[in-house]
Amino acid sequence: MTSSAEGRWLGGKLSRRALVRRMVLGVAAPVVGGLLAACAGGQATPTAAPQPTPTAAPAQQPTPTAAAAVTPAAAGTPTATPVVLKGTKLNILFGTFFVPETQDLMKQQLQEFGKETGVEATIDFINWPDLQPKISAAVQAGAGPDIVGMWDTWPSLYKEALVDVQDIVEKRIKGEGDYFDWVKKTVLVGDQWLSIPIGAPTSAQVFRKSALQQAGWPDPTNPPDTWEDLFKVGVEMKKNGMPLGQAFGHSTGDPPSFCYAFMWAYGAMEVEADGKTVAFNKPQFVEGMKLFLSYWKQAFDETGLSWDDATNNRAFLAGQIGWTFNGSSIYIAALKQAPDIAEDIIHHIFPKGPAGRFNNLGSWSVGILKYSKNIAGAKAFLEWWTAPEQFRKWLEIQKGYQVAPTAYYLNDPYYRSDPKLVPYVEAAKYGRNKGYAGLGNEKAAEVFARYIVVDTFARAIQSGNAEEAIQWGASELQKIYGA
Amino acid sequence: MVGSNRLSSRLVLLYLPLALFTIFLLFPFYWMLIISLKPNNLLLNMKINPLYLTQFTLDHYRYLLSNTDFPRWALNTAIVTFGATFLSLTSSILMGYALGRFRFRGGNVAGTAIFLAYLIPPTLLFIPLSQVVARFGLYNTYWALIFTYPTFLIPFASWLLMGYFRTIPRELEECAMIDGASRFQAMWRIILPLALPGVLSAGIFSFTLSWNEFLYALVFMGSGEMKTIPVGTVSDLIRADLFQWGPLMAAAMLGSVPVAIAYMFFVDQYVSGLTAGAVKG
Repeated sequence: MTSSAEGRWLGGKLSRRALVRRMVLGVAAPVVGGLLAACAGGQATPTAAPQPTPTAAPAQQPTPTAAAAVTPAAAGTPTATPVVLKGTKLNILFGTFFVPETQDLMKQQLQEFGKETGVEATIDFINWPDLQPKISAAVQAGAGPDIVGMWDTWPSLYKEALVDVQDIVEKRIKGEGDYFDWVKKTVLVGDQWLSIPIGAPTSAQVFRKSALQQAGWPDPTNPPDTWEDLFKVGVEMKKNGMPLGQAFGHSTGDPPSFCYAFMWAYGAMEVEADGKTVAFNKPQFVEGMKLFLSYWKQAFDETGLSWDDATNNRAFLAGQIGWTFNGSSIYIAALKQAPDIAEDIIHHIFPKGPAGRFNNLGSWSVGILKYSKNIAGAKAFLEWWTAPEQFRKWLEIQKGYQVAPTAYYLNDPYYRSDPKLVPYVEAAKYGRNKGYAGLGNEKAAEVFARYIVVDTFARAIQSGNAEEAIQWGASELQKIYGA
Repeated sequence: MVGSNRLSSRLVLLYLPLALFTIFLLFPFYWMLIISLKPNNLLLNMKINPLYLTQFTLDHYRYLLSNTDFPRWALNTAIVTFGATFLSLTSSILMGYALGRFRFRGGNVAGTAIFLAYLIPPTLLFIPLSQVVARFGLYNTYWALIFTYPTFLIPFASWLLMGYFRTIPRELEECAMIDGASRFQAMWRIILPLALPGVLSAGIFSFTLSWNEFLYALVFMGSGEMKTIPVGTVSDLIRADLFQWGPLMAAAMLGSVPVAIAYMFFVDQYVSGLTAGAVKG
């Protein structure tokens, strides 16, 4: 400090205005601090959770190995949960569920877990397309939810950020039997379990029985079983104003359902089992694509190029189309909103082609993020929640919308009580993972995220040239798998 | 000619295009309104004319206000919007004044650089910003958005104000300074009142963008009750592949009201603010 400056402070040159200004500043600082604190929001988050001091850490935040030692007791009998979990916080992030009661049940289960263990757990549900940006940002920031629900190929994408949960998965396999092949091929990262499989919603063909009848299909209760028969009956259905409706836009559910299943049924794959050799441009697939193109204008609603996952639901419930691929959401919504349409709906598993019958299926899973301040609590919760006692309630409330990851649950009444929904369970037998015959790894995830298979179909429809579109798809796949 | 007094030519050249343009602009609001008032059983009924209501219900508004946290989302949105707008406007006035009034080396380059910063898309910025937000411990607080929205508000608002300040004759504040006003007083008492249309334009711009912003609100806040209207609406009213169209449109209607009011009150100033300097007076 210069002498003149010292003089201003010490030499009595402090004017009345300057004094008042400093007093105001002195008062304002705590007020602003208070305002900052007030604006910090009411919702507790992992970052806002009490942070134990380094010395207190061992008691409050057990290491993952310590967590493994305490979780069995926590999961088996929540009342026996060790004191270390009490007072800790947990935030969980999931995509929204079509059956609203599922979200209510999960909140209720969290409360129950909280009562037993003293863990204060909260859960957020967000729109499907928004899930990935939220998880990506949380991983980068090292702050956010402790547990995240993930789509099939995501464990590979976030493998550096996920906690190993081998111990919990082994218990599940021991108790409920091994997972389906399509589950292991998507959730396993190499030979590591970094998340716990929870199954997936499946798709099936959704028909209007009356539309089949009007189209002259001999037995409307036994719908077309091959792709070619489907296209043929579609021509007649379109003549009657009830065309086939299929989405080909950039949407994660229905467009891939059609495109991957059709590709496999006509002998093509993204890649061979070695995970490197692209097997997309196959003569049988080219012929299949030509067949599809020859029926596109005659049998399909041609606006399908711009449809997303929601458009076919809306079109079906509005009586604009007589067939689509979808989860059971159309039927379940129709039961509430339009019982006459629900009565007229018939489901059927995916059609078969020359190479067989397949459908695109990869398991969702739940994982713990490494930055979590409460890995022990997160593990305890997941072990408790994925055990049959809780997990069965979760499957049941979804009325069969979610197919379990193991055969253990598939004969449960909620999968069989409504005969119309049985094809959704049967679909699990024909499941293939994205990236088949390779693994559902980060390369398969990239292919999926860039919609290469879907865009191959869209290009073929737009250009009318099957060979050129498939060549384009193969070259794009080569850039990813050959790299 | 538009200025002609003949009724027929005014009708064809003025009122008809104006009517078409008005219909084109207002149709989305009309569509939102009728969907929000239509009962569920008629929403997907293609046998009736979708352009007008045959039955009327307020159920979707009731559902929105009682079965969701919409009032809380609205409060969150308002807090964030007013906070971010105030912060951005204050910074932009000071920056715009400095860049518009002072001659210093690199001033023009700085002005252009600030505007270029506005061109960086938020989809690129949200990942690095999320690290900043987390390190400051702001995750899931109002401050996360109040401090991050200015990253895209300040560049445009200060660029706008810089141009506006330049249109105000320098002599006015020089006179004030000759009369004993300090630089700040000259700015505060002489220039700022004259620049009010520009300030209001920047304010409305900031308000609208903050009110409607989605990505940052989703990533930096959006947990539990801390959702804004855009985030809460899509999180709670879209269930997997089924959209609850009635409540969604009701939320869109209620969510657009504050922005519409802001425009209604300040539209004249907004237009004059945006067109300042277009012609020399």
